[in-house]
Amino acid sequence: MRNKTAIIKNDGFSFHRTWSIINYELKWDLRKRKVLFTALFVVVVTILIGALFRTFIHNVVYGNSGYLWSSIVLVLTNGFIAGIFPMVLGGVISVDSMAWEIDKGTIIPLLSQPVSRSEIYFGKLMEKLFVMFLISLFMVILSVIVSTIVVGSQEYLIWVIPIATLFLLEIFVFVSFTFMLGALIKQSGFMMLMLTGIYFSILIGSVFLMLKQGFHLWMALIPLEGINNLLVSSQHFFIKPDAKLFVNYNLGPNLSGGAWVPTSGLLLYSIAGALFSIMIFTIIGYTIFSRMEIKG
Amino acid sequence: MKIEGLRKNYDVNSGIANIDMHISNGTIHGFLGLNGSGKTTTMKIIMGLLRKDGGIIEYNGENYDPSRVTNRGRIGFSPDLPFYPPYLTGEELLCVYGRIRGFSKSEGQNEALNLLKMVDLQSYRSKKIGRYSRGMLSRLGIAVSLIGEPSMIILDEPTSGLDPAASLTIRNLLSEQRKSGVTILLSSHLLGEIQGICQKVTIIHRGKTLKEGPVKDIMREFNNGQRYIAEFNNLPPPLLSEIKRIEGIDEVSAIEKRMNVIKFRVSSDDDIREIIAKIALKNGAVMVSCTSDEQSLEDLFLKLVGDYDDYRHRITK
Repeated sequence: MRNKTAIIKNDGFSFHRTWSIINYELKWDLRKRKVLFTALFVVVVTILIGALFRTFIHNVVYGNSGYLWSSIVLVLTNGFIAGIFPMVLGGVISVDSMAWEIDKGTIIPLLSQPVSRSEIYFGKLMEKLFVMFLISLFMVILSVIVSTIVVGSQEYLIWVIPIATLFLLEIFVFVSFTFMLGALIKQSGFMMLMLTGIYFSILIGSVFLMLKQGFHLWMALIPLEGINNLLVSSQHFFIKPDAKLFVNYNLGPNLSGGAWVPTSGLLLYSIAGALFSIMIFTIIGYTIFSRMEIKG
Repeated sequence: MKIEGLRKNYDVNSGIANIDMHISNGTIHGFLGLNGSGKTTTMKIIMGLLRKDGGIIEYNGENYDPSRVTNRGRIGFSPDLPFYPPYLTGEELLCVYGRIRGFSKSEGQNEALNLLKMVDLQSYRSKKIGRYSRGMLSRLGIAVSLIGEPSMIILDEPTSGLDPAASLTIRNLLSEQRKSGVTILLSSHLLGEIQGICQKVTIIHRGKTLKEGPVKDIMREFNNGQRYIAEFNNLPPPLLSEIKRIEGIDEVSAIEKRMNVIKFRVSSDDDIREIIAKIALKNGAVMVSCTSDEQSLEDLFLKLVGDYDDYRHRITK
């Protein structure tokens, strides 16, 4: 005997259905090899930076071995490669949720179920928030462990949660951007290439803007660009809240500049910039998704 | 479900122009058309995957808006070439979709197991969908469409690419569902399949409905009565004359290339084979066989499509 007919009574937003989407997405994510590979990548990079670049980090960049762990997080997210790590992390794990599902057609049976597009879109985003939170926390805690093994006991461990949260915020900008791009281009093949291209185009465009106008705090509101200052300013803010930070922009020998800005102001604007980016990308992404037609 | 004047414009030469379809409750309704005629587009509009540009859809006498979750909850759907997340198992997929439809975790699992049993996939319940064969995916698609016992299911080419045994399993399954009161809209290229299990049929071409009605009525109209071929051990001229004189029988003629074989048309629903056998005996002959010579749905379909294209060609000229 089968169950009684399930009757959907509610056309409005349903937490039960949204939870089902989170569950669907989570089951899928936890089985993906690339999620495991990404986690492994985090471990390897963290250990490499912690161990091999200890002297560089300790003596040249941030000076104090007591908070080497936060320097590792900083190098991973901002130092050498200007946020490419959160972009890869956010992009690789999110590309399947939207672009791949549309591209491969697995979205069709899902959209045919009695679940609204808002429940699908925001359910998927919420699941990514949870997965990325776990990865962020894992990476920060791993940085603490590696740093403790390499240089001894670590300080300022009270920052673990705020730094993990800010790191999550940074990754989530790329998650929301990847969702938006996925709904827009509906192709998973060139997704990472496009993501990287757009990201670096915005970065280079922003530097030209800074070279022309000088650096202003409002520039931290530029989508994708502003988040590069997020963790740098947060670390300096935690050490010395009233300090000033030198923002350096550089595209070559004759194309460089910099400005001293208040750390607290830069942190505030960077957080606002990240939230603004997430909001803009989510609104655009959801608007496209909710109006999307499945042809072919 | 009533669909009238349904329209969807992709560009100048594609989309659907005027689809009318009336699907009676508790029937299997065949949906026929060539590739690109608009079958999948119509089904996608019903499921809210595409927006219509015109026309009306009613379900049980009420306006049907596919963007409403409550409306889609009454209908199950299995797309052509069903793709499901390859990392999930069949059981997990049905559980997740069951939970979307309002089942609790245990109810969802119970539903999933029952459905897997129904489509004969219980042995593969823990196998990842990515490893399912085409036939298994089709059966899983039907199971997905049946989650929560919807009152209507829409199946887009469910037997496409399947071997005859797998197709038969699916046809039997659909017949069982119809008996339990489920309305089924079935799109298929296999006209013999449609003729065999559907009570009603809609034939579309180039985005327009060409013909709709009960399969029996359409075929009778097309054949213009019942047609038979009868074979005798010998065919004396008086026998042919006497058969021609039987009321309700006409178009009697001998088939040139076959010895002692005639064909004829019967305008009534009566079974006249016994009468002809007796007349044959009276005339010193024996009727060896008498079989139906009706044209198939495939013949009708090709004629309708051909006539429509000829008509369009003439208009264009």
